[in-house]
Amino acid sequence: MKQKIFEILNEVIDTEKPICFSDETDLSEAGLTSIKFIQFIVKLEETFSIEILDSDLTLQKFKTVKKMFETLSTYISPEKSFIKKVLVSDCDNVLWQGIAGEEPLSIGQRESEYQSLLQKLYNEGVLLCLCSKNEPEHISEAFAMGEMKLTWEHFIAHRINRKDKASNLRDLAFELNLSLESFVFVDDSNYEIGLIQNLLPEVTAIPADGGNLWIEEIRSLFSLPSKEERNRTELYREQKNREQAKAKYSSAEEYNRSLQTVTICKTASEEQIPRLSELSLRTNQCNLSLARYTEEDLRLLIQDPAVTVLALSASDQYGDMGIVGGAVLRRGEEAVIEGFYLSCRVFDRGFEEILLSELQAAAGNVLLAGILKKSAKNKNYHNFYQKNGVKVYEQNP
Amino acid sequence: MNKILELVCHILNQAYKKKLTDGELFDLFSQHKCAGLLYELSCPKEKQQEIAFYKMLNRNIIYVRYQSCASIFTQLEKQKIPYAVIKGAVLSLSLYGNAFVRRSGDIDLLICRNDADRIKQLLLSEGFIQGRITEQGIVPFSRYELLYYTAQTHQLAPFIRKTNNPLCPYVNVDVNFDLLWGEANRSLTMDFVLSKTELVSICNVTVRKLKTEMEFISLCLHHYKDMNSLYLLYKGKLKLGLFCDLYAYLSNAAPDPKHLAELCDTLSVSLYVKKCISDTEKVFGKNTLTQRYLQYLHCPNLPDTYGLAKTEIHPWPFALPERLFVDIRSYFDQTLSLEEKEKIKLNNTVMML
Repeated sequence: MKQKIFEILNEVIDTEKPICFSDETDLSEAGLTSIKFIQFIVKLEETFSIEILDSDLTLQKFKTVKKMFETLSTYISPEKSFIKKVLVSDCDNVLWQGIAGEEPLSIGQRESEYQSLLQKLYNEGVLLCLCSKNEPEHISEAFAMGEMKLTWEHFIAHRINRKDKASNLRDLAFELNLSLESFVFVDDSNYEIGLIQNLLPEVTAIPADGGNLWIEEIRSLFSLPSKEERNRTELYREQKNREQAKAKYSSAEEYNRSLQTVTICKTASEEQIPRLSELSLRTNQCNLSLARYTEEDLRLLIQDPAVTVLALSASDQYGDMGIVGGAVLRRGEEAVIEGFYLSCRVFDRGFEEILLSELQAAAGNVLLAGILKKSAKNKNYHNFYQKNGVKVYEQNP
Repeated sequence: MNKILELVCHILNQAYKKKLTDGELFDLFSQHKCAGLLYELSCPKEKQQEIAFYKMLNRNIIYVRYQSCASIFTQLEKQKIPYAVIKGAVLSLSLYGNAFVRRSGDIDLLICRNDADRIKQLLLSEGFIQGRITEQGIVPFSRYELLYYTAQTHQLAPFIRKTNNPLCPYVNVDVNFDLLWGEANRSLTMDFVLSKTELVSICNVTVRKLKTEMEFISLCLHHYKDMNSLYLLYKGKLKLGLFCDLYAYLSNAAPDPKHLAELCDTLSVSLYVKKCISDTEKVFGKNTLTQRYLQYLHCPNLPDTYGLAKTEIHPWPFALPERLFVDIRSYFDQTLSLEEKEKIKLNNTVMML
């Protein structure tokens, strides 16, 4: 751990010759100037999946190497380098490109390389698990794809449901009777990665973002030490009480709040039409009327004075998510929601309720009703209108 | 207040070498941020309407702002987190006995750095977001920006929350850890500063403010920065209003001179406070009010210089009050070193964050 921190320091300070640090080295004199200090903190946070508290963000607390380690000891401890035994992988846009049940799937070079690595890890005894917010039948169908290197049997356990992934990981740890410290979690969503980092800091969370570096990172996490080392670490690990791990947030709701999510839900503009159309064509799981709108359809709808088309955009600490949902409301004696759809990437973050409350506001004092076309894919939303006091007009798909 | 009005009119008449009309004085008071004096003038009717409108607007904004934050103040008391509201409405109350005279853009909280995490959690749980206001609404700061604020300034990145009031669509809370500036290379002991607070009511919301003597120190440190920072001077922050505030505070809030001097000694800020009072005296002329305070403040030399960091201190080429009416920006363009100009540019970039 110390070595890694020194590497980061040298990388940030960027001198011709790497600095040999001692406990008394004054970091500011060594070149950790104000801007570099922030770069250093950013890199530390990324590398160790931690978040330094505001009260610790003073140069004083990082004045010397000794001081720095004192400050960081509450965030990073040497015991954190546990042997990893379990890899929990997301499915959509990780094992394959695309979202099962929503769009055609394919396997590119990156996914193929990742699957080969998982095969290798499986053969070495690493326990593979799946954790996805999709539907089990969609995932199972995806595994039947010809290009898949992995089979369902490679995975010892799975949690394919709508529960938050932190709860799912806790369940898996309980089922496998292993400490969460031995878990590696791979997901393409910054939200999910952040959730695990904050709720289960003992799990190593790897974002499956662009490029192949993350695959290398997983490879290095599972590179096995000698048998003796492994046993010693294992013994040590077993003594640990996993309840000691300090989760920064006690619930997914608290974590959501910490993301400082901002949503903007307002009448759709001309520029938003292409994305709104694309979203309606691609969305199945949270598409209550299974409405599909072409750009032309939406253009006509936004010009109709009896219709309100809403676009829901969102951003958070991780970045701008752009338009994540849309709705079409027709006002008459009743206000009828003809279209209501949300990207599956933002399920269960309260966006459904935000979109609905904006529709309620747009409906004014008129009774709000919604068209529901039930399908296997949108089954999790069959009761959504009813639960939220919206009159339901059920239609055949 | 009439005394200050008289003094300020005299200064302005002298500076502009003529007897200024009330209309002209109104414009100059606005330009020089002499908020308290605007209401004292007998202005033409259209100006009076303008004043009445801004009074109403300011009252509404402050009302919305404080009511929106009422639960935060309750929580701060409940959780026994030391804090004080500084500047804005509370200062206006001390200066003019009226919370609505001064205009401000936010609520400024002064806290101990050690409490930053608790206060951040409190504000986030109340729906505040650390971000900037754009045409599309509030956009959260990136982690890098959040880190920049906390590590490089004496405050957390601003907290913003949307309201339902079109007159005040957003409430902005700034959380400060210190009254000094980065160039001072030291911090005030906030535990001590925040041990000197008292409760006041603003728009029926009970908040903590600094006690008179500590509040005056806080005002002096804030204004000292405006009077000395190269960046702020370049931005035109040196205004007659700064000295009006200081004079009005001494005159209306009447801090105890001995107690003030003791606190200044304890916090090692006598130089800054004495310089502020001494410069006020230079603007308004020698008088018993400022003398009453200057005699107790221990600081042998008061250099007539500007610049906050030791490396950027320069002697003033303009005396007071003439300094208030010269084009400092042009003077700086001609005289500052490249390095100093770069620093101003960097500050500008940072403030655009």
